[in-house]
Order: sequence, then C-alpha cells, then structure tokens
Amino acid sequence: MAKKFRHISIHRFSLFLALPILTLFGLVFWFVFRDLESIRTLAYATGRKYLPRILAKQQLLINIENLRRSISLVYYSGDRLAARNAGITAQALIVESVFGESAEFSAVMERLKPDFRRLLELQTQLCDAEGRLLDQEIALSGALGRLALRSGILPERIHAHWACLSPDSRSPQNRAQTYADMENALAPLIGFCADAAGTGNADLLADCRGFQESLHEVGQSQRFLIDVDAESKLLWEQIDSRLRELSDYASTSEAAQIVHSMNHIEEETSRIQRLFLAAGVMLLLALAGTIILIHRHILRPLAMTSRALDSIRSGRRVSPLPQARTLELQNILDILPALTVYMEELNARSGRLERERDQYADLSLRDALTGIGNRRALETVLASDMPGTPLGLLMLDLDLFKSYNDIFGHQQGDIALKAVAGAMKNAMLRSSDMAFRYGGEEFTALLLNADRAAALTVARRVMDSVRSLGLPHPSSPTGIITVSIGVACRMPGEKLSIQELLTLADQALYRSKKSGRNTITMSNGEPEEKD
Amino acid sequence: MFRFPVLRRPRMMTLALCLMSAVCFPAPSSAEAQGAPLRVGVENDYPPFSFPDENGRQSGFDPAVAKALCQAMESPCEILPLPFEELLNAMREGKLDLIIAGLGVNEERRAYMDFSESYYHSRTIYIGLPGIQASPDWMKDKRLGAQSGTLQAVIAERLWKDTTEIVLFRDYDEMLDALCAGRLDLVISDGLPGYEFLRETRGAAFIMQETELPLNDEINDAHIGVRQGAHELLKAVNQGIRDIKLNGEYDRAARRYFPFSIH
Repeated sequence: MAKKFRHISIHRFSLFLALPILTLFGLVFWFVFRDLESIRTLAYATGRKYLPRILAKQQLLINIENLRRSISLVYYSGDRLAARNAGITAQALIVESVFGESAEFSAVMERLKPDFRRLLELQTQLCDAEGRLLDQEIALSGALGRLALRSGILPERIHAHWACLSPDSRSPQNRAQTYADMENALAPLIGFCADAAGTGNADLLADCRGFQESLHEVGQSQRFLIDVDAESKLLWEQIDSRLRELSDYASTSEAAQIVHSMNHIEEETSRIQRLFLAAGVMLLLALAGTIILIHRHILRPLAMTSRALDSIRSGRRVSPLPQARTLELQNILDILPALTVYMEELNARSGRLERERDQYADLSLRDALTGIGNRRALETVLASDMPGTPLGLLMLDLDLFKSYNDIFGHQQGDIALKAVAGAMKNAMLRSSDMAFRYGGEEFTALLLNADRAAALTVARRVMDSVRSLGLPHPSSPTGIITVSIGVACRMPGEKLSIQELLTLADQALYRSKKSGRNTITMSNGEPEEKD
Repeated sequence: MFRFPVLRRPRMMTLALCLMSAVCFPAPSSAEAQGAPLRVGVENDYPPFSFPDENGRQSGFDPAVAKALCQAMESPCEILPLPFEELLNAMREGKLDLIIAGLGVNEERRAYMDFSESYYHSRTIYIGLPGIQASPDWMKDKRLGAQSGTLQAVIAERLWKDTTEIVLFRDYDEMLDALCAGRLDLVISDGLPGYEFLRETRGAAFIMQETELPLNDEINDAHIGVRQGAHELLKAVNQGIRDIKLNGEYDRAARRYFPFSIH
C-alpha cells in the first residue's frame, strides 16, 4: 500500500515557517544584548571609575613628591623662612590628606606624622640652638680676647661658623671636626690657664674661669647640635622611606584594569561582529528556505488551482492534479473534479433548457392543427415589415365550411382544413412565401417581393391546388371544397402597412364571396375568376 | 520614482518634507540658545580663593574655576564679588545663577538652592599660638573665633558650644586681625586660606592643628551652588567640573594658588 501523503494545516505551516526565524532573532538578540550590556558596564566603569582613579593616583604621586620636597627643604634648608613655608606646605599636605582614603595610606601617614612633627620641633630647636651658639661663640671670643691680652697668646685659625645659613656646617662630622679644630687651636690658651691656676692672680683666674666656662658652653651647644643633626638625619631617612612606601601604594592597578577592559571590549565587539555575520547568513538562508517552502506548498497549488478553474470555465476537462501538502489547499484541489462534473451537467442542462425554450417559442407560433403559422406568427411578421417593399397578400376562406362541418362533423372538417393548408403550401413555391391560418377557416398567404401578376399567379395556383384535392362537399355548387381568395398588393414605394393590406384583402375576399365564391378578387378590381 | 503617488499630492509632500527636516535638523538645545551671561557669585576677600589683585580685578582659585567652567560650558560669565553672607542672600532672592565660594551642603541652604558635585575638598584646622590643643580641658573658657555662616562655624558650634566662648566674625580678615591682636586664643578655619595666612609674615608666629573629623565626612566637600530649579544648568555644571578636571584647566588654576594639587 502506498505511503499516505501527509497534509499540514496552513496555520501550522506558517508557524513552522515563522519559528526558525523567530528563534534566530531571539538568539541573536539575547547574545548581542548581553554583550552590549557588558560593553556598556565596562565603558561606564572605565569612564567613571578607572580613569578618575588613575587621575587621582597621578595627583597622589605628585603630592607625595611635593611632600617629599617640602620635608627635604625643612631638613636641608638653611633659609629659615623657606624652611618654615615648606613646613607649612608639608603640614597642609598631611592635614588635607590629599593622599586618598585607603587604609594603607592612612596607616603610613599615621606613622609619618609624629616623625614629621618631631623633625619640625628639632628644626626649630636647631635654629634656636644655632642662635645660642652664636652668642656663646661671641662670648667665647670676648673671653679669648681678654685672655689673649693677658697671656700674649693669640690662637690662630679659629674657625668661625656663624649662622644656619651655611649648609656645610650642618653635618655631624663637620661640626665635630670644627669643634676639634677649635679645641686644637685653643690648646695653648687652655694650657696657659692650667698653669695659671697656681699663680693666684684673681683677675687671671677669673678670666680663665670665664674662658673655660665659655668653651664648655660652646662645646655643649656643639654636641647638642650634633645630636639634633643626627636625630634629624634619622627622622629624615625614616620619612623618606615611608614616602617611598606611599609611592608604592600609588602604583596603579587601574591602568592594567583599563587595558584589560579595553581588550575585553575589543573581544566582545569582534564577537558581536562575527555573530552578526553568521546571523546574517543564517537569516538569508532561513528566508530563502521560507520562500522556497511557501512557493512549493502554497503558491504552486494556488497557481494550479487557478489554471484548473480557468479550464473549467472554458469547458475543458481538468487533468488530475498532484497532491498539495497544505491541508486547506488540498481541500480546494479535491473540489475541482467535482466542480468539473457540476459544470458539465450545468452546461448540458442549459443546452437542454435552451432547446426546450426554442421549441416552446416555435410551438407558440404554430397552428396546432395545420402546422402552419398562426395569427400570432402573422403579427410577428407585421412587426418586422418594411413599408415600401413590394408585398402580396392573399386572404383565403373555405367556401361553405360550416355546412361541411354540419354534414361530415368537426373531425372531418379538421381533416379538410389540414388538406387545404397543405394544398396552399404546395402552391407557394418561393422560400420567402409564408402561409398562416388566420382564423377558423381563413388562411393568409404572405408573398414577399410579389407584384400583382405574381400574386395573381399564386392565387390561381392555390385555387387549382385546392380543387385538385377533390374533397367532396355536397353543399357546394362544385361538389368539391373550394376557396375564395382576396388579393391585395403593395407596390414598391407604397406606404401601406400589412394591416391595411389585410383590410384590403379582406374586402376583396368579401367581394369574392359576394360574387358567388370560388373566385379570386384583386383588391382594386372586379372579381376575376368564375367557375 | 515617478510612480510613487506621494509625488502627485502636494500636501503629502510638504508634510513628508517637514517631518524629515524635523528629524534631520532638530531644534537647537536650550543651553546653546542661552545668550545671557551666567551671574556667578564669589566671595569678595578670602585669599587664596577669591581676592582683588593689585589691579582691582577679582582673582583667586574660585574666579579661575569660574572662568574655566564657563569656558567648558560654552557660556559667558559675569563674576560678582560679594561678602559671604550676601552671596547666600542674593541666591535666596534669585539674583545669582551660581555661587562658587567653597559652599558646604546643609539642609538650610538646600531650601533655596541646588548643589553641584564637589569641586574640591578642604579640611578644617585650628590656628593659634604654639601650645594650642583641641582638647576639652585646654579649650575650656578659651575664646574661639569663627567666620559666621561658614561650615567652620557649624563645626565650632557642634564641638565647642558648651566649653568655649565662640566669637563670630562676618569677615575672615577681621577674624585673623583679632587673632593677631590677641583678642582670640585660637580660630577655626578652612584649611586652604589658613595655610595662606600662616605663610604670611603676620602669621609667622602661629601654628596649625588638625581637627579630629573623619576623612570621608561630607563636611569636607566644597560644592558650587546652583539656582534652584535650573536642572539643565546643574547638569552642565557637573559635566563642566568633570571636564575641567580631565582637561587640566582645574590643575592649572589650583597650581597658581595652592602649594599642592587639590581635588
């Protein structure tokens, strides 16, 4: 058994077509949307978070450098004003905490603050101490002067180092060396005073004591300054290393993150591009497939249906059609053969009806008994008459027909009428001649294009034809059935209507009857034939 | 082309053309249509933020930021120096479009103006002779100066209302004079002008002391005040602040007046 041909409903078919395309769209949309969303977040993060942070970190590095510079000025500078301003700048930087708020930073700053404060203190103390040293050195030189006068010993090359202004003097080595140099230079005077201890000179002793005290104070100040310097140096180194720590924290991961984000974005955009390309190709294929399917399962059956209907309309037979997969279209195709049969039957019936109609039309114009035209037929002819054309009209009447009926009966009368009609027809030879039964025993003959002579000839022929029937009629003077004829003619150009001719022919017939029957009378003449 | 019925109907054609031009040439945005200059209020004498220079022109960080901002917003500006409290009054009366004077946000001010994003941070410090301490024991019965209407005044109220006598000054300079003259024991001040003062000769004797406020406190942020309800302007100002920080104009202004990079 052949495999059953499966049909799909048209709705399911559309769904089947739409589904792949919709799925494709859905997938592409979902992927692309997701990727675009991630690109958006990356771009946002880059613009709003990473870039500002990079800028902030840049600022940070600048500020750390500024702080370092300021603190180094505080440490190194001999210019008190510059050092103070640098100190304020450094303090401001620390207070403003322009370094950002992360925990590591704050921790390092907290360790830095006390060191810095101490450094500031030391610098202040340093400048004060240097000032004191200056005074003490002046006092020393005074004492030196007095002693030099008494002793006559004038030390050479005592180095004077006056102010915080000279940077060289600040290193501990320098200071120690300077002091050592000074002690060496003053050694002779110290020796002199040691010797003078025994002399008992009160003034000398006083001067010596003053000298020694002065020297001692200077020494103390120098040592103090050395200590301060040492501590300052230590603090400065600590601060410096802490600042380097801070710089380390400022090295940004943001730049790496931005590069990473940009790479990610690049990947995603190229993925989206590829996806679009693939989706585009698949979409084209899907569309092509859809078009092919629609063509095969919808358009072709429809075209076939259209051609088949065309054939049916033209009356041709429809050849068997291949199956269509779409259910609804198959239903239409199935109807077509039945449609063909219906159409044929319809046509046949139409033909029959038409023929019947013609038959009925014919019947309505035919005299049932004689078979020639009836009065209605004559009236039809009247309607199509063209006045002015030559026309001959004969009016016949059976003579003494009433008594024939009385003698032989109506049935015999009918036979006689039929015979006369036949005889009349025989006498009319032209195809354009028409015979009508005008009334019960009256007949009319219409002779187109007949002139007087022709009409007369036909009338005589009719007479002879009827006579030659030889139907016995006891009441008739001739013993057989005869007719009386009235003839009326229309000559070419005469405007008489057939109705008027009928009247004239009727009048002529009357004259024929009046003049003894069995006669032909022309409408404008005397009766002609006599028998 | 000539078969398209639209070409035979003039009314449809004109309608189509109008729609197309509306799409292609949108109406100019209201910001560009702004011809009137923005009225920008700054404080009249508060170095280094805003002060008259030797030619009498208003200089300082705030006017510099104002110029940079207006350039970024592509809109002309008119700089109006006023004392601090009068700035707030003028905004209340609708006579100013912007106030660039290191304003801090508080609810009271929100009632009559909007605030932009922060345009710099600044800490609050105490300034006084060496030996000042911000502890309740030390502060007891001392005289603390503050500029009225500022956030520092608010902080002073918050921290030292009960312990210390708080003396308010309308003018920042007045307050510093009082400090120098010894009429005050210490003042509470915005950091940046404070450093400026300390670097001057008259400030040479004084030192600074930090306040113990948390770093992330919003109280440290300075904002630009914007006329209430001007949403387009607010958006433009915020975008402008971001732009000038990015294109270096902000740093240029800061470098001229501050010893370090502020943000």
